[in-house]
Amino acid sequence: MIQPQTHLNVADNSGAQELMCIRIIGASNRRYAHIGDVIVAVIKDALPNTPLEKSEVIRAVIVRTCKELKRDNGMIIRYDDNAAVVIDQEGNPKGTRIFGAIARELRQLNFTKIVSLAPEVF
Amino acid sequence: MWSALRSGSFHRASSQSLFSLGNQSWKLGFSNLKLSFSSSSTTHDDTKELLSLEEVEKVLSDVRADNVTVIPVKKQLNWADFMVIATGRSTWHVKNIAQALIHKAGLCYCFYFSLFYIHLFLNHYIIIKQAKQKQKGAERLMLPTVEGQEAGKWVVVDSGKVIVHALDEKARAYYNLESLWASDASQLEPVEDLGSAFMKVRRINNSKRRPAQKSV
Amino acid sequence: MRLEKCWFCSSIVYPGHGIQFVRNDAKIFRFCRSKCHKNFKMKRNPRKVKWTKAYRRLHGKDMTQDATFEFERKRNRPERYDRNLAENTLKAIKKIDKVRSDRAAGYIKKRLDKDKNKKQREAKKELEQGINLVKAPEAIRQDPSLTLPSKVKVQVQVEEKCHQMEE
Repeated sequence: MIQPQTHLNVADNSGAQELMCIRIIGASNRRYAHIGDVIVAVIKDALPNTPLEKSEVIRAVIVRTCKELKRDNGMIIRYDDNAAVVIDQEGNPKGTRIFGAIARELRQLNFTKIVSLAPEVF
Repeated sequence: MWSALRSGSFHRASSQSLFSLGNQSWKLGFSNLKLSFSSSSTTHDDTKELLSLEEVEKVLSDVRADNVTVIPVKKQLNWADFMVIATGRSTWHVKNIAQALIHKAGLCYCFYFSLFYIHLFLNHYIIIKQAKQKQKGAERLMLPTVEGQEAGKWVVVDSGKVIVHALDEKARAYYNLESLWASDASQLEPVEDLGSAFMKVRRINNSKRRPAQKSV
Repeated sequence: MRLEKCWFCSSIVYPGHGIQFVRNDAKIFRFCRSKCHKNFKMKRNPRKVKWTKAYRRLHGKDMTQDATFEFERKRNRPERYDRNLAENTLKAIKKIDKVRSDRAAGYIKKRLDKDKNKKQREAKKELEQGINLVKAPEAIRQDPSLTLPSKVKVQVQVEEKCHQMEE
């Protein structure tokens, strides 16, 4: 359940450290974003000497949520934190590696690039 | 989220129809290229692969993709068997590689398509019934999925167990996909017993302090 | 379909039940119900919570080693369907279940038998000390037409013993 003003961790090595959601893309009046949704976010915190800087506006895909994710087979999955991966306008990830476990749903939602960079997929 | 998925799949599949043969269910869809048909079986695990590894290799050599690397990743990843990485000389070339693969998948499909047409007449009523039921679980994987076709820097063709990455030279050097899977020998640990599992692991520290430490 | 074990209480998690928690290091914790999930969130150690299997095993309340445990194993390769095999398996399930429950019951019985003598001694002592609560000592002395203290004692003791045997 990500909504504007939610702070998210960054699950890649793009250089950003913390994001704040400011808009959910693909929905005019939706309140919450879930795993696999693209959001517009502000970088609240970034590593020095990286292409991304603080207070930059970027797009990101949500890869983990604390809110439970329900699958068709009845499985309910919960993650440790809210985390996103920074992407550009074309959907390519800004970072080259992804950290932590990510959800399998991303592949079905056409984020195979992110999935193939991830170490663990659940 | 699912609504997004559905809209995505409808975007790709302008017309959808479902056929079934035995216990397999198939979903046909015209892609935005009007070339590919996609199919999926009922579960992820036995996803019917449209493109076999040999076919992919052949197509890649036909379109003269450079530096083709095949990495078996079955041990490391639980969602794919092979990663194929190819380099294109330009964005146009990269796009072309992807299109060739989709075209190949489409050709394979024609055979199945004709088969199902025969069955359609035989099992007309059953099929209609099943099609209605199947549409509920619309979030099935549509194969092969193509990603990054517009930009042409990094195109991924996901055909179930074989994932083909076509990148331009810059992107290939940047993402360095080979090193990710070739060196990464970390396998999934066997499920630990309860005793060893109970240890306190702190969350990965993504807090603000880290950059300060690194900068010092 | 895979039947998993609850991380907290070690009971079976059937498909569609409970919740899974994926830690950032990709370790999966499965819970059979919200009770176990909540206990996990409270950072309780299943070895210190008395109702879990882990506690019972650790403290010798349940069997830890038995041949029947060997039947259950995690396989990643799906078995090819074979009608005969399936039939035999279904038959065997009942039998194995029975053997397992019998052995578990036997183990507990054996464990309880060990301090049967101790319990009897304690009961005897309690009776000697507590007979005054049933009947005041003065009343017994004054009214010997009632049962004799020694007699009462013996009678009740026998009764108590019988009672225990029944249990």
